[in-house]
Amino acid sequence: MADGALIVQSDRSVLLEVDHPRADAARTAIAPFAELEKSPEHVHTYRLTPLALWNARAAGLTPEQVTAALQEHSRYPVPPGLLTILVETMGRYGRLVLLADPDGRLVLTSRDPAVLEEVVRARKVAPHLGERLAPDRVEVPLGERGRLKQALLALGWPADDQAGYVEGAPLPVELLEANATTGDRFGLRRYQRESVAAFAAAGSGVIVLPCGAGKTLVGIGAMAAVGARTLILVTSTLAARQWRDELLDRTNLEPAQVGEYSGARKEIAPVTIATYQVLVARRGGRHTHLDLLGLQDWGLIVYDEVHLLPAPVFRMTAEIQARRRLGLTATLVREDGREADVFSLIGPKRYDVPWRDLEAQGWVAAADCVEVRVDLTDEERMDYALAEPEERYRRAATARSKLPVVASLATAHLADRVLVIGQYLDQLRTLGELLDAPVITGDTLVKEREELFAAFRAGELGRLVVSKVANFSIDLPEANVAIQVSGTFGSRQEEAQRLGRILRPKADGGRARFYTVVSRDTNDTEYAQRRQRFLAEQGYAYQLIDAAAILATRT
Amino acid sequence: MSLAAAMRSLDLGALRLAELLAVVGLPTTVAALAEAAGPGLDRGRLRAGLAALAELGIALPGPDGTISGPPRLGAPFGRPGGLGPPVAELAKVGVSAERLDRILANLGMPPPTGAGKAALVRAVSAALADPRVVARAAAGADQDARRLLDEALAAPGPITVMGVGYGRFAGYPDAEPASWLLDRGLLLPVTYSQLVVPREAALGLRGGLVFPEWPAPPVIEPLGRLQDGPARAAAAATRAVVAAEGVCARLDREPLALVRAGTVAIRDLRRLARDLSLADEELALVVDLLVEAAVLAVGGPFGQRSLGLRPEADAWLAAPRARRWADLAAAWRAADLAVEDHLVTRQGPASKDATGDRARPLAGRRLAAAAARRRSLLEALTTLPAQAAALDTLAALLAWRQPMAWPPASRGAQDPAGAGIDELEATVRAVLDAATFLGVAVAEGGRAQAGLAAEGWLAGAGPAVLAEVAASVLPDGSDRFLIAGDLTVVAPGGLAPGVETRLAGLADRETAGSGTWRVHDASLRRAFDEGRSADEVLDFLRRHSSTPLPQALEYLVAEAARRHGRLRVGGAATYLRGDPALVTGAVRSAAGRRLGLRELAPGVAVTGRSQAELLAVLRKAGEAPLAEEADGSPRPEGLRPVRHAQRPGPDRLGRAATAGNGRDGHGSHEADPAAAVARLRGRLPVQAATGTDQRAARG
Repeated sequence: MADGALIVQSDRSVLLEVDHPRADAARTAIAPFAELEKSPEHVHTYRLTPLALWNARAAGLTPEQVTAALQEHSRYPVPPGLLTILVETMGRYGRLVLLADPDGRLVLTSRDPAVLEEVVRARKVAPHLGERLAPDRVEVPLGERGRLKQALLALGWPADDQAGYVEGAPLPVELLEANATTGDRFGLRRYQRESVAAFAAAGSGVIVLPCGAGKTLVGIGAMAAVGARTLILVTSTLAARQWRDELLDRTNLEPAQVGEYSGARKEIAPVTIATYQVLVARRGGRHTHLDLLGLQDWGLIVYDEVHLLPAPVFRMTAEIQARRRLGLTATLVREDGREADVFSLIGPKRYDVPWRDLEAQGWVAAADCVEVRVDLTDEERMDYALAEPEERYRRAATARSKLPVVASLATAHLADRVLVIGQYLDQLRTLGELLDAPVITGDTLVKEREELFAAFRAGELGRLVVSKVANFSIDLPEANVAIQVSGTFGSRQEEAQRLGRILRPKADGGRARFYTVVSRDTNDTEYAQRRQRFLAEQGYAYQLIDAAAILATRT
Repeated sequence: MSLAAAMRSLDLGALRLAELLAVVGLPTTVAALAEAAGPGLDRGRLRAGLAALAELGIALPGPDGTISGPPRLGAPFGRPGGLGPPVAELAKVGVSAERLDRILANLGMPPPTGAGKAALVRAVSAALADPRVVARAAAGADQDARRLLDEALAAPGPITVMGVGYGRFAGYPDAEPASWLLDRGLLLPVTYSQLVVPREAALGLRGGLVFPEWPAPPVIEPLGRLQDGPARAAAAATRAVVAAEGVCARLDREPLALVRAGTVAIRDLRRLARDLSLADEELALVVDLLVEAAVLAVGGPFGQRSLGLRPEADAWLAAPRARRWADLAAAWRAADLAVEDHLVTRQGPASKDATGDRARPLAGRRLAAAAARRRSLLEALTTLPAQAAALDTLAALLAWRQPMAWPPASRGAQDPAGAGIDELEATVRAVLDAATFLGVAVAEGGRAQAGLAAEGWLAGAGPAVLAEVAASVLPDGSDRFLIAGDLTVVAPGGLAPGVETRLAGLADRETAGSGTWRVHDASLRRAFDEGRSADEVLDFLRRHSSTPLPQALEYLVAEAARRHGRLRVGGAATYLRGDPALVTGAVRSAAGRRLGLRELAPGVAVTGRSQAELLAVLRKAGEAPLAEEADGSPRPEGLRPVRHAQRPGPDRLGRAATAGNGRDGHGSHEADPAAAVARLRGRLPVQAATGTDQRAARG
């Protein structure tokens, strides 16, 4: 105990000294119940949040095991108050259980009458409960299962949902041993198999894997495990097409069995891939498509990029709690802070691997992050100083002084596949002309996009300028340099996604480069610092250089 | 040592013996004392008790079995043995021969053989001293009389009963039973209405002995030591000293304003406690200890008093951590401020001894026994045969060992609700909690034992010695830290004080009391504001970091240094602007130098002197400067005729208002009161316009 690798602080944070000889053992011991908050070099910070503790309890860990793990690896005595809170918090999970009783009714029960009494009387919970069947059980209307779980979590009494799932219409899905198009042999990687197993055991939950770790394959593996009709929800039409291609390449599914339900097509097949956008589209004040999909007999619903799940889809999800749900994401961080809804509606986190571990195993490319600070001309500075506050970021982010820097960077990476990513279309068009590269924005036709991406993958195109449509689910494995010229203020999640574009493992095992070009002394720099902090916390080396250094090497 | 202080160090057995000596009166003999003590006290304990008293000089046994001692031995006891004056004494003041006669008769005793009051007194005294006689008399008392007698026996002095001796008993319910008791000598008057049980009767009711029972020392159940005791003590000591450092860090730059009552506002206390992850009560204790240790002090003008660091605090903060702890422990040993009171409130319903239901630092009570209590607690813990004490026997042990230092064990006697907790136990627990908080004692799972440097603490060792003992378990924070890529500085286990102070100058703690600091723009700006350069900052970080500096950090420091001071702010009273050549000329002129005129930029100069002075100097030099208003418009100066408006009184103002049209362009009276007020306030719309006209006319 005296020389442990952990320092447990009474504010519920746990510091892990990475260079400690027993750091790995300590990490393994606490990973199931502590949330990794940040992992810069030398010292990683974990936090014992209620959600993390409940996740651990859901996975079968006892408070005694948690206490023992902390005490074994802690350098100083663990604050006794903290242990009390910890045991108390964990003890709250599972005191309430959702069950299907023999008559087929859904009931909320508890061995602890006081707890049941407390929640039954709570104003936020009562509307979701039905009749009191016995002192220790309350009927729950079938449609209220999700909302009840949300309300109970908010109350601090997360329910253990053991009511089971409907099986859905059967659909055997088998993974092929070789890619149907290319003939390359493949198999699920170890962490992917473990993810699938963790999910299959629980029936619903979230798998957290870094960008480029092959989340699609985990989804396909889950489909094979469940063997039922599946609804896949994705962020964009393009992503839908990529899912479809993967499904056809890697499984025994026939093209007729995979349907696309998007703005363009409305196919319903045993496996249907729908976009969030079409689901939340309203007609006459109603989410027409939401109802439609909710009526199918799905055995599994896959939520791609679960951290982007829009609010109406949450509502729909609350009503289909009897179906198996799989959430896939690179980060549980939601900019809107609705992590608790993900927990109660999709399910607890079932599996995760830190980025760095995958990088160390060679599954994702190593990346260097470089922030380039550009000096604005006096004219631009004056322009920025006089701009309205809400206009300032745009002025700073689209300063013309950035253009030669981006050009120099592109020139320096002539042999690489370069993605230039930005927020503002004018700027992107200018860059496209300057670099003589095609520009892909939300307006670009899907067909055209696919052609351009194909050319980029094939190596015919060395550079692409993309707007934020590229933030999600575009598979560009060969891109190894990204140049970010403007973004959505300080969004951490966007940063993770953009970095994810270039993290797919490279054929030559080379490192990826992630440049961010920012205007010095403006709020562009401030936002960049916020994103930089996020990346540094994830453990990426971050370097800052002056634009002058780039421009000088050009000659 | 005063007699009272000597008494305070006696255990309950010796104290009883001293009290008995006071009752018996000095000088006396061992045999007489043994007889007065009765069979309840065995010879061995009598001798041991006498030896303890002899050691303190309270009883000086002679070789021939006599005992002498200091005068006024009874003083510390108030009424030694809880006994009133003897009949003989009372007979000197308010007891008449007739009453004595009546008492004898009522007690069923024969009249005295001799004549006169003296014989009566002897007879009554002898009768009351006979336990059988007194018991018989008392047995005849009705319910009211019995209650009154019990009350008088329990009272520390005479009781007051109105209506006795003034004829009728009307309206005073106690008067009748009192008269009954008076007639039997169970009560005797001291003055008119002050009644007391005479010594003989009190003794008689006790069966003839001053102390029918002698307390036996409590049996201490042997308990094994806590295995992780030293580790717990070290952790507690670290926590306490880190908390103290945290308080100092918070008050360093921003002293805490106090509320009118002279204490810290509850809200401020809460917030600080939360930031330092302490309980409110613990924080109150830390604050009080820091004040006692001369680290913090209350200062500032009355009405805006605030709590801040004393000048001595810098030296304290720069000392090794063990020394800081030792200073706190020593302050706790010496303070007569009952800092433990804060912790009493944690025990449950507030006892009447506590200062209130909430912890309020800086408003505690001073208590002579406070230091003695701590000492006796630690003494008990260090000298235990079993090395650890069960918490419930600890209170009994302490009450035995130093009955004068602790409150009596009274289970909610004064509490009407009957819910009060044992005051003795609450006090013992509070002192133990304080000792545990500091780490000088360890309490866990119902047992307590001595903690860090307890022996030295008891022996009165100075802070330097205590620090030496504690140094091995309270290591100074290291002077090394790790700098992580996200620009946090991590120092698990704390930093050496000197390093920490300097780090605090350029980084902010993520949360108070934690070992994580963040370097960011604002914290660096603060360092630069304080005159540090970028190189100094980087040097410092490089010197103490066990990891290479992240490039991003170096860049950030350079960038922050570059941005620092791009805008400058200064003070000046007057500026001079205009043609750059003329301004430079004025700055360089002898008069300009004399006025301290300084050129800020081509065509702009400033001085600390007044406008009038600068104008005068420039005009003297042949220039034609124009005075400006603050907004840059020309300001005409004293060239218009001076008119003094008559100060309008309220009535005059009213009359002016009714005068209505008596207004002229340059008038000294103004018809409109609002305008008059505006004019008086210096806003002179009319006059200003006039002035401009005048200047135009002149030009």
